Amino acid sequence: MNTTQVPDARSYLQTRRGIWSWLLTTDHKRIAILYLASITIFFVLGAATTSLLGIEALQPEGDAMSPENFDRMFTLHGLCMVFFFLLPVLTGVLGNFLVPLRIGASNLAFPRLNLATWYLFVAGGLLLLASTLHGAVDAGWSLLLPYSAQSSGAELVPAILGVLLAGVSVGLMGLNMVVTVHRMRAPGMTYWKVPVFVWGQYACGLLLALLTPVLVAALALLLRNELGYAPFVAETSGDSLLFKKLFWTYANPALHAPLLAGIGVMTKVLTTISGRVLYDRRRVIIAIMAIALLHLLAAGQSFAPETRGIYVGNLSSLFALLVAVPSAAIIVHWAATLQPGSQRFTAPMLYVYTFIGLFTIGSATNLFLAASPLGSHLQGTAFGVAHLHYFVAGGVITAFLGGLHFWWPEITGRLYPEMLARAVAVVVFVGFNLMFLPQFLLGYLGMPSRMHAYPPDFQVLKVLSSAGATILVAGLVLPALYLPWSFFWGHRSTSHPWE
Amino acid sequence: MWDEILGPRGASEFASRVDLLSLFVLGVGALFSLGVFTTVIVFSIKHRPPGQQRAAPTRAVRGFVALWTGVPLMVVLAVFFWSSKIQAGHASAPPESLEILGSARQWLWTFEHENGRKEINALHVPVNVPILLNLESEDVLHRLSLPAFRIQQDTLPGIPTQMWFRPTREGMYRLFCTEFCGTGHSSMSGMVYVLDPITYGHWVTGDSASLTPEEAGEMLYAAFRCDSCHAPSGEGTGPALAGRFGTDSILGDGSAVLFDTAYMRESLLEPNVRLAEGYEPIMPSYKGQLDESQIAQLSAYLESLASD
Repeated sequence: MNTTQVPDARSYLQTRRGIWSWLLTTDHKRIAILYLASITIFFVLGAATTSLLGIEALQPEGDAMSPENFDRMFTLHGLCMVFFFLLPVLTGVLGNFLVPLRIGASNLAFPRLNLATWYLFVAGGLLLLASTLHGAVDAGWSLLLPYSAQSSGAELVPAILGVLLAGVSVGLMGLNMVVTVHRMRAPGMTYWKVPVFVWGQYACGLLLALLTPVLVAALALLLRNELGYAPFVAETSGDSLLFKKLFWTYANPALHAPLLAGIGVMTKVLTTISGRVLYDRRRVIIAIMAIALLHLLAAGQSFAPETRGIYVGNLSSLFALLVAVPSAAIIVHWAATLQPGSQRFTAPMLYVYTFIGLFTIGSATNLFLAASPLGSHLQGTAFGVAHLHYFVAGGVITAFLGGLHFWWPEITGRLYPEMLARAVAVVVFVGFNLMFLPQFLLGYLGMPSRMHAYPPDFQVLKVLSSAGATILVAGLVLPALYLPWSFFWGHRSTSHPWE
Repeated sequence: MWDEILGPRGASEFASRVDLLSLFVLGVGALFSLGVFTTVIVFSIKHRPPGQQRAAPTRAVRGFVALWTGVPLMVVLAVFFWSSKIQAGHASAPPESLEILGSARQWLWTFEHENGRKEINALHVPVNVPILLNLESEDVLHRLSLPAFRIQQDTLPGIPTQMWFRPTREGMYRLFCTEFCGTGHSSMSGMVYVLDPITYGHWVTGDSASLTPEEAGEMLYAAFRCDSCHAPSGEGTGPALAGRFGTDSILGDGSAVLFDTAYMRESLLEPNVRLAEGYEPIMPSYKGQLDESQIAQLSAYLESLASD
């Protein structure tokens, strides 16, 4: 089964030493470690802003911070989490490390591009951090025009450039994955034999590579807007909705792309730990690709139903609704794989159960946003926020933690503390549900997102949600501590302790 | 209690139709989720002797997979056609609609009725009459949300948009801005007052003959949402006004002016000429929205607050 068994899992860490052996490496395993380290920094920053926003939400008057700082805080939170965690994490770390090993290749198709991609990511991150020195952007992570141009000063240009570099980096990484899967498979490995884990990475990479030009177009126009030419502002006969439409044409499918990689990760964890063969893997592969295609076709879903016209509106609504069918198919194929019984509830497996929970409920809430009259009522409310976090962020974080624990022995040659990891998996599950289930309700009651102050009768649900945020952040801090610890001092292990 | 959990009852027929679809989606979503969770848990914990290889999938498993892939397809198609039907039934406002102009700017909603009557962050409408709102923004993107009627609409600079609803229950309902529009985004909130047609008629024509000037002033103070900035506690973006009438006000340049009807009139019509010390020039002018008798009523109301 394992054609790629290496004698010592840590050998790639020890062959060469010194800082340049890392900064100039083209080894996909080392680049994965570089990604892991740098993404963790942004994740911790994003999680810290989560806590502050949770404290702010406790009081209806919003006294914990000024409206200006609140706006900057959720903007920084969104930019960090979307462009420097959600989009790159599953491909940059797990895909980078494992895709070549799973298809019998010695490296990705473009090893030097892989390193350059990481440098683009780091440069983008530094520019985003630099923008906070000038007072930080306050327009939300979608940088919506014309407000972003009106409110921001010198800080907007580095922020746009930071997002641009991060977006391009993610797109190039996706391209690298796609080419690797097409061109670098071992002889005899037909497409149907490619592991589902790799198919997930492929679908994710394909979406991101195809979508990146749209993001670049939107940001390039935003940049020109900053430099004096104003195509989006009504007074110069531009279309005030153009930027919003371009941005969401990118963002809506792009946000769902990492979930496909997450499905791949979870499939691998589930089949290996349960010791089963995936029930009808062909149909699971088809379902993954169908979800990718439908998200691409449903890009217009996030336009306001009233401003997208009846045909675009109905079609994107239909495609967005249809996503539920392959999603349901994947879940029931997993369930059929688990039959019959006697599972080992190790930490990675607990993340699989969490993923099934979040993904099933998230697919159901997606129906609300996809059905036009409901989506129209819920857009821009806490319901949308809850859906994005519960479904997309929840799915990606769960898949990442599950996969990272699962492959930790293979990546580092060490074991993580199992009991602690199981406890964290349960805490993360409770945290997500407590944090976002109240927000679905708040959204249906009409509570808009990004409110510095809110009507006092929403306070009970807001406080419940903040309590969930506290639990979630507490749960997420622990792996950031015990995983680095086990990297140096954990028990030694073989690469594949699960089999 | 149940109203809090199930949400505000819809205040229009359209809202009830939307709620029914919501309940259906919630129902099938919950049913499917529960089914999946039960199956996954049962499949996971059912005992299997160690080492035993799995037999080929049973008929039951194959049936389960086929059922739970086929049923969602039927459900989403049903949701799609149901949605389209609701949308089609709400596509255009009836010709007899009462038209109201809605204008957004950072950070106020202004509504202008057919007779020119204007109000800020509040919308008075008659019950059982279709209301057509013609929306436009003066600056950035906004989005008017009337959650009790389950409707929202983009309010954009340079692109006029419309939304309509037919309120069927009298009462007070929230209105919000759901497109992030800057520092004051959360204060772009207000109330929709659904009145019986006679009360609405009195309200819109400003007919307040039966009221004393103080009472009429108090109504105006509430209707124009003066308290959203001039809160009694003094914590708003403007100075507190209770107890100020007849006293000296300190201006930005250090000079003092007597707070009387004349100064109040000037502050309403040319608010940023003589500004109280420590406040930003952000108050909008009410020129054309308040006539002389209304200014006198507001003045009487503030004077009554001073003597308390």
